[in-house]
Amino acid sequence: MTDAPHPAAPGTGLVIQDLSVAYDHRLVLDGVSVACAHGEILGLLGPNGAGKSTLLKAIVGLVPRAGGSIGLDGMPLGRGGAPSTRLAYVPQRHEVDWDFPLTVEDVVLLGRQGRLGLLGRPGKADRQAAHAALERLGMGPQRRALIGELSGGQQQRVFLARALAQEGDVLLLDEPLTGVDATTQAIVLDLLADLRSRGLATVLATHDLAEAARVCDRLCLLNGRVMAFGPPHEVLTTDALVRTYGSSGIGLNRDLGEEVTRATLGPALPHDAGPAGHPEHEAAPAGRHPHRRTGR
Amino acid sequence: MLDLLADPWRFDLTRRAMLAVIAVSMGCGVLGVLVVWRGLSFIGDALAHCAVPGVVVGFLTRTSFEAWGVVSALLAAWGMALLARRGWLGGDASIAIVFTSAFALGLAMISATGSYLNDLTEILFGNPLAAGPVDIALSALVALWVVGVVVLLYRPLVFASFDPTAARVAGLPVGLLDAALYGLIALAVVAGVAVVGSVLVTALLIVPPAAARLLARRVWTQMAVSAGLGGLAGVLGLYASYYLRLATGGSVVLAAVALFLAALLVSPRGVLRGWARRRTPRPALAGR
Repeated sequence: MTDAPHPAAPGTGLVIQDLSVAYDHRLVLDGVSVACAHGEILGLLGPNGAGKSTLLKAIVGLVPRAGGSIGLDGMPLGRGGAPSTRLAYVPQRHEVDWDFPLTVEDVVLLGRQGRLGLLGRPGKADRQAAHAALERLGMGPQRRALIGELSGGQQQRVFLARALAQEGDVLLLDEPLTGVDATTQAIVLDLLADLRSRGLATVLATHDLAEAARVCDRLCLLNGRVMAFGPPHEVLTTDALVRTYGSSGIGLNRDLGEEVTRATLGPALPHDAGPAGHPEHEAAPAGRHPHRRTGR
Repeated sequence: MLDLLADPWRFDLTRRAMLAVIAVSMGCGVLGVLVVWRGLSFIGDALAHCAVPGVVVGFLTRTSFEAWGVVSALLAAWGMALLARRGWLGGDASIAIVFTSAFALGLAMISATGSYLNDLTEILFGNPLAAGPVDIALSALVALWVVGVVVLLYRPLVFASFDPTAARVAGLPVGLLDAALYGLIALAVVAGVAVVGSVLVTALLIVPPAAARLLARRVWTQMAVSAGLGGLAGVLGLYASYYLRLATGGSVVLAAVALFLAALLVSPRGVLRGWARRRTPRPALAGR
């Protein structure tokens, strides 16, 4: 259980090799190589400006690459273009104007527009996918509400529902846990576990080291370059944290002490729970009762 | 009373003007909802000025000033989009640079050719009664085209306006959609110049959508309300212009502003509700 999990065959999933991204002439990402297999959650950690968002944007083709390659199941993803509907991307919440006069359902249905194309109109299947995604995130009752009437956590869930409705198999999340309420956090973590068991590859940028250590199968400590990449208990060492965060990394590790131990004992979420799941895990939704898992 | 209402419709000239004003105001009303939500309120004003050099060419060559106006406004609109998109300049600065240079060019062209005052007044303040049948037909066609494209591309346009990043990732051609939107704005603006003139055409794009924002919740309901209010403003303005001998552009815009003020009064978030709320005691916050 302590070994790096490889639920899928090697070489499948998202593989990023030697990726570099430059803004003007400043290298923001320098020779980044990470991978995220199907059925795996990869956590991106690092200080502000470390390039977490940039890495996600490079994967979906929003920022041009200076070098390197990005592949999905052995097929290269287009350089700076040709985004694939297999990739579902959830940008940071503050990137849009939430006063825009759209209902929750309107926004989630937009997640289907990539499949529908320029002239397509959503049909019954699209509405069903949107409703299912909203129900999954506990937003069913609010689906006729205007997005401006929602709390921050609910807005985050609408964004996630839009990505779910897209029905891609690679999910890229930019800080979905930042500044959300406990309900949203629990729902999101539960969803991540669920998607993992359904074989999605999930990349999660976050500031929450403790949560990342609990949830992710592998972590990438990032600060322009990859400072460490591997299972949480291997990555979260004082040495690696100091290389990533500077001297403040020492304190981080001390605060994390308990979590790191826990991660070493065994990650919180089941790695290979099939659709049937494991009764013990079903009884304890992800992220809510971490103390129960320390005993396993 | 019925005679009063029917009177302007008896003359070919005024009937034509009426139809053109209604069509153009409705088209601008629909498009304006997207313009306002994208924070492009002043683009209407800017593009109207950008149409001036084209309109002058139309006057000088005695060809359709609408067609030439569309050409120069379209070039300017795409120039603005390009300047803003490449990150060379902020959206507001690129609009300002393109529009002032185009307007200056237009003024220089007018002054170089003599009949400065009459032409300028007509361009700046519009005169639907002076517009020929071809121009009127063009305005109506342009309005129809604008509404048709917005309806056809409704969801992609909304997606690209609300969340361009996600729209791009989803595989929608956001650059193309932006170019289409700017192009539609240019078309609507030139059609509007014939009706209310270049100075006031912004009002057709902004005032009915602003009123609709107070009355309706969703993008498409706002578009419908805005089209209705725009058309109504056109009718009311033309009647006022006919009976009170007011400049048509001014009276159409004033009618739109009057409708906006009415919306401000009756809207669910409006002035009257505010008063009513203050008079009734607030219910205590219900405990859960």
